[in-house]
Order: sequence, then structure tokens, then C-alpha cells
Amino acid sequence: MSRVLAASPIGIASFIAVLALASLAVKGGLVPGDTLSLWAGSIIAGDGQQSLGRIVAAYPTLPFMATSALAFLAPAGTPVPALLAAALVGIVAGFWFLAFRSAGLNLVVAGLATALLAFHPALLRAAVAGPSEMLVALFMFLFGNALFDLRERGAAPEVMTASLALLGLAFSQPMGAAFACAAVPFLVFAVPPELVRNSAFNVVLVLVFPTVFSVGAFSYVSWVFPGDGWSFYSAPSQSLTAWSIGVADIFGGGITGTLAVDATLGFATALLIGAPLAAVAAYRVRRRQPLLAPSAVLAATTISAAAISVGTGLFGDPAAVAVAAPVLCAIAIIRIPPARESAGMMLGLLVLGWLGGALALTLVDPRAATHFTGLELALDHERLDALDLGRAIAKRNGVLVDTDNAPAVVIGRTFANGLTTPSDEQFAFAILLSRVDTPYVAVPDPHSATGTQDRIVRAFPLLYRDGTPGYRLVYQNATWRLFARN
Amino acid sequence: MPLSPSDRALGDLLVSRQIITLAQLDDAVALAERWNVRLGDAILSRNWMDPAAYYRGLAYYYELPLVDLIKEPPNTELLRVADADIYARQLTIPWRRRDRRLTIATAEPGPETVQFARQRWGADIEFAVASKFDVVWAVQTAFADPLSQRAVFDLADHDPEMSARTVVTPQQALVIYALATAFLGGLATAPLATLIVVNGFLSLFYLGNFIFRGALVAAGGGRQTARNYEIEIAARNLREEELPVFTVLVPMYREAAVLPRLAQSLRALDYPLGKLDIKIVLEAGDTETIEAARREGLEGVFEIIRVPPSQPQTKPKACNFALRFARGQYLVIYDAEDRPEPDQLRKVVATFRRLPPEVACLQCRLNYYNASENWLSRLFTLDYSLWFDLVLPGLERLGIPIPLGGTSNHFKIEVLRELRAWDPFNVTEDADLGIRLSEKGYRVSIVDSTTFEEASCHTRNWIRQRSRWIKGYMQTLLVHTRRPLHLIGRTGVLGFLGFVFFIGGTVLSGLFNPVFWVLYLVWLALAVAGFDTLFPQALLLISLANLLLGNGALVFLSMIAPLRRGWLSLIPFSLTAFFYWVLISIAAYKALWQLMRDPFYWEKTQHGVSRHPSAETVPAEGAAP
Repeated sequence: MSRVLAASPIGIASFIAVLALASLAVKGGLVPGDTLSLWAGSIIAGDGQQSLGRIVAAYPTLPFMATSALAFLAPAGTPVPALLAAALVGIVAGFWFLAFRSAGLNLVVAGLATALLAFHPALLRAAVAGPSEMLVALFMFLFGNALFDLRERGAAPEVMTASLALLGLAFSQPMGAAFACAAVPFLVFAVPPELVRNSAFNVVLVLVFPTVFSVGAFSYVSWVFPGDGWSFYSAPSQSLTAWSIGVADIFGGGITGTLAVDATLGFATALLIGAPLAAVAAYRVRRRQPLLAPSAVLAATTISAAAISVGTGLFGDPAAVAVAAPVLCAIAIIRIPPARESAGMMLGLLVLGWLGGALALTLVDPRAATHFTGLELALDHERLDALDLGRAIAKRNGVLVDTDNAPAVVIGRTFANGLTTPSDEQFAFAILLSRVDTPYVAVPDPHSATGTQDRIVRAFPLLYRDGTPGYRLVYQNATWRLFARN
Repeated sequence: MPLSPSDRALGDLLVSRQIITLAQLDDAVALAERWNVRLGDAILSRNWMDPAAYYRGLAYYYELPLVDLIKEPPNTELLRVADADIYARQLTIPWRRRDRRLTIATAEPGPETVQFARQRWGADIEFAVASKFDVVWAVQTAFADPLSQRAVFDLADHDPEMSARTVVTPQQALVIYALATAFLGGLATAPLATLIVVNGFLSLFYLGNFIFRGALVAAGGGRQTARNYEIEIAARNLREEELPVFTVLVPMYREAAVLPRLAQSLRALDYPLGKLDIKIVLEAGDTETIEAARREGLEGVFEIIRVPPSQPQTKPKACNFALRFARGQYLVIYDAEDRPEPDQLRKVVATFRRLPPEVACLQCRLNYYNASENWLSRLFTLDYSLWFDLVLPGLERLGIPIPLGGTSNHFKIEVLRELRAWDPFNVTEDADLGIRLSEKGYRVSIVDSTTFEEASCHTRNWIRQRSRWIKGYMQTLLVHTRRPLHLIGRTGVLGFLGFVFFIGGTVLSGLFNPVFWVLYLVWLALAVAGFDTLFPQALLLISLANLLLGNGALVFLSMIAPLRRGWLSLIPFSLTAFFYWVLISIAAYKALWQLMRDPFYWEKTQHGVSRHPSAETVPAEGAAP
């Protein structure tokens, strides 16, 4: 208990700082679309507006469950994802502080090291991006830590922790799933050699079984309920495309001309400059396999995950694994004694890593860089319009709106009761029969980015422009129009 | 300890009469001094001479008559049944009265025996020498009926609430009747709601069971390396002279074939043979094994206890009977086919000395030496590895009562006697005793030493064994839920819940799994919507979690179970665990049927059927099966 109390000041400080930052990001429209969808989905689920099938088949599962539970408990209007992400940062920071103290660092050094890592640009980016990416950070840390234990002992609890960390990664974020896939060939390097000699395949089988089984189970549930075996896998190709455009905006044609190779180089560089402490520590223990192998596996897995994501296009924007830099540094301090031998050098390398991390953001998340430089804000205007629409319909019930396409509407409204969303049968019938009979219908401009994906626009192409008989226009902004039944 | 003058003189006599050689005497003296035992115990433990010749020499040395208690049994009027334990343990028994002087027959003549006998029977006594075998035989013969009676009814008479003799108490019957009535009444008046409630209860129970097992494995697999090393070093450093006498009970029934291997395993124990009080416990009617034991020409430390025929004919009854003759400070039970690791008894002594006095029993790990024989033996090994290597340490760490498993339970003998030993009416007497120890305020701990056994590798044999285990769990559950508040008071809420989930979970999951499998298959195959009403949303979520995550978690736990021993080749077989669960369910229904029809019937497991010879005993860690 006293240990928890000792860690609480730094945990609470991190929580407050990150909450403030994340709330600003929410207001500034800097939150990724995935997080908005998650937030909106959690409000809908929390209000009991979502069917069980969609709840159990929601992906990413863990952040969805956590956000929904929090949305159910928190007052309407609470920025739930920001709250959850900040809480996760607080927990991670508190845990790191405790681990640093246990590793022998004094109070001041441990506090400074924790602050430098908790406010590392890559971790702050993950916190702003929402709970999914913070869960990736958390499970990545658990996984990295478990790799050291695994290499040391290779017994049941260590295998359990590593396996469950991979499972957690796979169900936290698409890039977490990419990380879990990328880890498979490297796992054999992280277990004691005698186990590998005995049967490498069976060791890997144990480590990946929970993930493989859970993906199978999840696919099955998803198939049973929404009726499409892979409906949970809403192809995140859009986010990858946006990432690729961001890369092209900054780097032009890239270094090699092949995006996957460029991503590999970019993430390797980002890790190197974002986590120089880990690199130095790895160099100093280069002849001590039990200390070197787990760090190397974690780094190699991170870089491979980025390459797989870009190469296959299956896992979306690879930026989420950029958080590996502070995670690697934390693990190095905790598990590699030479990394913490000299407090001055350790802190110096952490400062260097902080600066490198800020620079590395351009490499791994060019979109965020363009956001910060104000180059691309068109999409954010539409989001603000959706938020405005949400606020406008706060007191209206029976509004037909495609919240999957425009989650910001739900967030602006702060609650889902009274909305007819894609979770409802009434919505499906309206689309299927091309007939509106709800008291209200909200439709985006077909020429806007939002409008191109909207199911109501597709079912009623002229609704935005001409309205529909029996309905009158009661509200409009730059992107949205709201019609009310006469 | 230096040898007593009388033992030295006896040794010289035996050499002078050419019963043993001088070299043997030197060795025997060294052994006796090192072990701190009498010279005779050292000589007989090495089988250097015929016990009869030794006792002749002993009688000659003490100038006492040698009597054959089999041909000339003691006068039963001089014997008291209440003293039977004393006769057996002191190897001293009143024999005849001649001219008002009482003759005491003893296998251990000497100053201590004289002092003991005078205190007990007064000064007007004289002595005769009898062999240890004769004394034990005489006690068994004289008190066959009363001792057998006590072996059966001791616990039931003194602590009836703790005995499975009454399968279901009137109160329990009333509760069962009330529940059945409520269920049937519910079905008649509100069938859907009733089925939903039952379904909900079972689903929650399953969920709790899965979570509980996961927690046990997480807790049990933790680092115990430091403690294990400490025990190992302490065990190695124990001096032989300070080791206590250790009773080893080996109940056997129609297992003559495994006797030589058993003897070999016990000889291999790293414990002074002269301090082992080995009792091979045989049913009096099992002439085949009794003859085999005689033919084997076992050393003097091996004693044969013949259990008189009576019902129920169970292993616990035989052990209760043999317990009367036990002379050790500690006692362990091994099965005939067991291969304990050689340093097991030392580790047990070291562990008992390090743990608090309330630890009255130590359970060693069990596993199989014929794991790779076939599919069933592999799955059985996974099952055992999970149970003994991960789950039981988890129970210990969380302070939940530990149901002892089969063999290799080491007891403080005085506590065992205080608890009136095993319940002969319970067919998993060991599991019951583990819970009873907790109820009486004692604790069970785990020792990192393995006994290798023979896995039942034939389906029918396996089902027989498993049905007995499950029936015993049913009996144990019924016995220890008679006074739930008392159990909670003794073991705490966590202990109580742990007991219910662990014992009850095993029984209920075996019985109800097939019901849910069939429901699921029908739903899957026919895509009928009729079941939908039985599964409201929340219940459906829990059921799905049980079906997918719960079963997946159980398979995963099976996968990590063999890691500790490095038996990685077993891992892929975990994927076939479902078929093993089907066998468990078959055994569970057989158990239920037997509980109703023949609750005390002991389903005998056939041993010695494995194709893997005993020489293949597997080292504890790091070896592939």
C-alpha cells in the first residue's frame, strides 16, 4: 500500500497533465477518427442503444469495452476516451516509477526518468490518440517485461504473461494485432535456448495460442451476430492511405521508393533516436544474450509490425507502434543494469530521447506533423460541423443519422438515446426500403468527405439538396442539414 | 551416536557364531552409529542374515528363551485391545503367565524395554525374545476383529458429521428435496423463468470456476524457486542420525507383479533404511500377493500387514488398520507402482522442520513415467501436471483447503491419529482428509518432489479410476457442506468458495458439460431459435464467454502445464482436450450412478499394465517423457 502511495503523486500528475492535453486535442479536432468512432460507439453502447451482437463483435474490443463501461458510469459529455487514456498514462507512469525505485534509482532520479518517459512525445501522441494506443503501450510494456522473465526462466507464469500481453495487443488496436503477428518469428529468440532446442514450434504454439484462439472465437461471434464473419475487421485502409499521403507530403517519393521499406527504415530510425538509452544499453550488453535478446526482439517486432502494416495494408496507420520508444527505454532501465549505472548519463540519454522522439514524430506520424503545422484542417472542419449538429439535436428525439460515418454527432449530442443509428433495425429498414419515417433525418453534403461514405446519402442521393416530401429543413451548417417531419 | 555396549557385544557374538562376517559387522556398526539406530535394525535393513538367526542370536546373548508367537500365540486374557497400538509400536507383548510371573515377549530386549515393561506390568515379570514379525503377527491375529472394527468405524463413531458413512444427512435430503420441488414447481408454473434461472446459475458457476482456475494457476506458477532451493539444501544437510523414523504405508491388492519394483523404489530412497518403517498392507484374502511378498525375501524393514476381511473393502480402511502398527514420527502413503524421487523423505523432514507447527501434512507432486504411451496417458499427464504443478501450489498460496491427491501425502503421525485418520467410507479419502485437516485448524503444504506413477492408459481402466475420484469428490462435497458456516469459520470465505469451486466445480462441470454441448450442437446444427428465450442478452454473453473464452483458457492452461518439466512434446495434445473432457463426463455419470447405488464401492485401478518398464522413471525436471 505504501508503495502505491509513493507512486501516486507522479501518477496523478501525469494523469492531470495528459487529461488536460488530451481534452485540448479533443477540442482542437486533433483526435483521430478511430478514437471518435470508439467514443461514439461507447456512448451508444453505454446508453443501451446497441445490440448485444454489435457489442460483442466490436473492435478494438478492449478499448471499446473499457470506454463503454466508463461512458456508462461517467456523466454525459465527459470526454471518456481522453479520461481513459490519461488514466492509463497515470497507471503506466506510476508503475514505471515504482519499478525504477525497485531497481535502485533514488527518488529524484526515478521521478525525473518517469517524467521524461511519461511525457515522451511518442507516449503523449498515443495518449492524444486515445485509449487504444495507450493500451498498445501498456501491453507492449507488459510483453517486453515478460520477455525478460521468459528468457530467464521460461515457466508457466512467464509464458502466461507474454501470451496474454500478445492477446491484449491484438485486441487493443489494429497495429497491436500487427505487432502480435510480427512477434511470432522472433519469439523463439526470447525463450531459454533449452526450450527452443526441445521444441521451438511447441513453444511458439503456447505463446500464440490465446491470440489465435481468441481471434477465431471473435470471428465466430462476429459471424453469429452481425452476420458477417469478418465484420469486425473494418478495413483500416483509409487510415493507411492518409498516412501514406502524409509521408508523401513531407518526404516526397521517399528514400527507396518502396513504402514498406521506407516505413521499416523510418521506424528503425525513430526507435534509435527516440530511445537512445535502449540502444546504448543494448550495445553494452551485446555479449549477454539473456539481456540483449528480449530488447532486440521487442525492437525488431516493432519495426516488423510497421513494415507488415504498410506492406499488407491490413492493419492501417502504423504510427501506433511508435510508442515502443519510451517503452523500450523504461524496460531498459528496469531490466538492464548497465542502463542505470550512471544516473547522469541515463537522464542525459532520456533527454536526448525526448528530443529525438519529437523529431521522430515526423517520421512515424506525418499526419500529426501536418496537423501541428496547420497544413491540413479540411477534415477537421467537417468534424466540427458534426459536433455542431450533435449539439443542435440534443433536445430532439427520433433523429435518423449514420453515426458510424459521423461519430462526432453522437459526441456533440453527448448521449445516444433518441438517435436512430445503424445499430437499429429502423435504420436498416429506412436504407433498405428508401423510406424515411422518423421524426428527423440528418444528412451530410454529398460532396463533402463525410458525405461520400454516408449510407443515408447513398440511399437518398437528393435528400440533402431537395429534401423529401413531408419534411422541412430545420437546421443546417456547412456540412449538414437536418429535416423534420411536418 | 556411539553404539551401546550391549549392541557391541551382540555384534561380537554374531561374528563369533559366524552369522555375519567381521566386515559386515564393521559396516553395520558404522551404519547404526550414523543412523542412530540399534545394531539389529542396521543388520536387518541390509538383509545380511535371516531374521530368525538374528533373533536366535539376540536370545542367546540376553540368555532369554526365544518364543515362536505363531505356534505359541499369546494368552488373549492377558491382552487388552486398548493397548494394541502400544504392543505394536514397542514390539513388546504380554505372552504367558507362569507361576504368577508374567512373561513378556519382545523383539527389542534391552534396558529401555525393561524399564517400559516394569512401568506397565509391574516388577513381577520375565522376558522372552520374539521376532518383530512374530510380535506384529500376534497383535494382528489377536485383535483382528476389534482393530478392523476400529479401522472402519472410528471416525464415524467419534465424528459422524465428518464421515461419509451417511451419504446424505436428513437435513441435506430436505434441502435437495426442497430444491427439486422448487425446480419442478417452477417448471410447472413458470417454465421459461425457471429454466433461465437454472441456466443463469450454472453459467455463473462455470464462469466463477474458469476465473478461479485461472487465478490458481497464476498464483501457483509463481516463483517458488528460492524456497525450493532452501529446502533442497536443508534436506541435503540433514544428518542421518537426526532423521526420525518414517513410516511408509503401501496398500496393495492383487498386485504381486509390481512388488519387486516397489521394493526397489523404496530401497532407492535416500533415507536410512534402518529408520524406515515400511508396511506393505495387504488384504488377508489376497494370498497371491502375500505369497509373492514372502517369496521376495524382503529385508527386515519391510513388514506385511494383513487386513482382515470386512466391509467396506477400501484402501482407507486398510490404511487405518495399518496405522495402528506404525512406529514413525511421520507417515507417508505410496501406491504399489509409485517411484518417489530418492530425496523425497529428506525434503519432507526438512520442510516440516521449517514450516509452522500447524502444517500437519505435505503433499508431493505426482506425475507419470509412462506419459508418452498413448493419447490417453499424454492427456492424463497434462491433467496431472496442471493439477500438481500449478493448481495445488495455487491453493496453498491462496490459503484454500487442499484436497490431497492419491499418494505421497506425508503426515505428522500424531495429527493423523488425532483426526482418526482416513474415512473408510469415502473413496477419495485423501481429498477428504485434506479438507478435514483444514477444518480442524491444520494446514497442508506442497513439497517440490515428484513421485512418478503409472498413468492409466486404457480407457476402461481410466474411467474406472476417474469415476471413483469423482464419486469421492461427491462424497467429500456432501460431507463438508453439512456445516457450511463451520467450514467458513475455519477456512474463511475464500477457503470455502475455493472448496466449493474446486471440488464442486469438478463434479458439476463433469455432469453438466454434456448438457451444454448438446444444447450448443442442436442450436448450431438446426439453427433453431427456440433456445433464444433461454438465453437473455446478459446470460448469452456469459454463456458465450464460458463456451469460447472459458474452454480456450482451459486448453491454454493445459498447454502451459508441462512447461515446468520441459515436456514440450505434450503441448499439441492439449488441443484435443475436448475428447478428454468427454471421458471425464462419462466417468462423472458413472460416479453419480454408483453414488446412488453403491456409494462405498472401491473401483480398483489396474496397475502394471503399462508397456513402459520401471527403469524409465523420469527425472524430475528437464527430461522429455
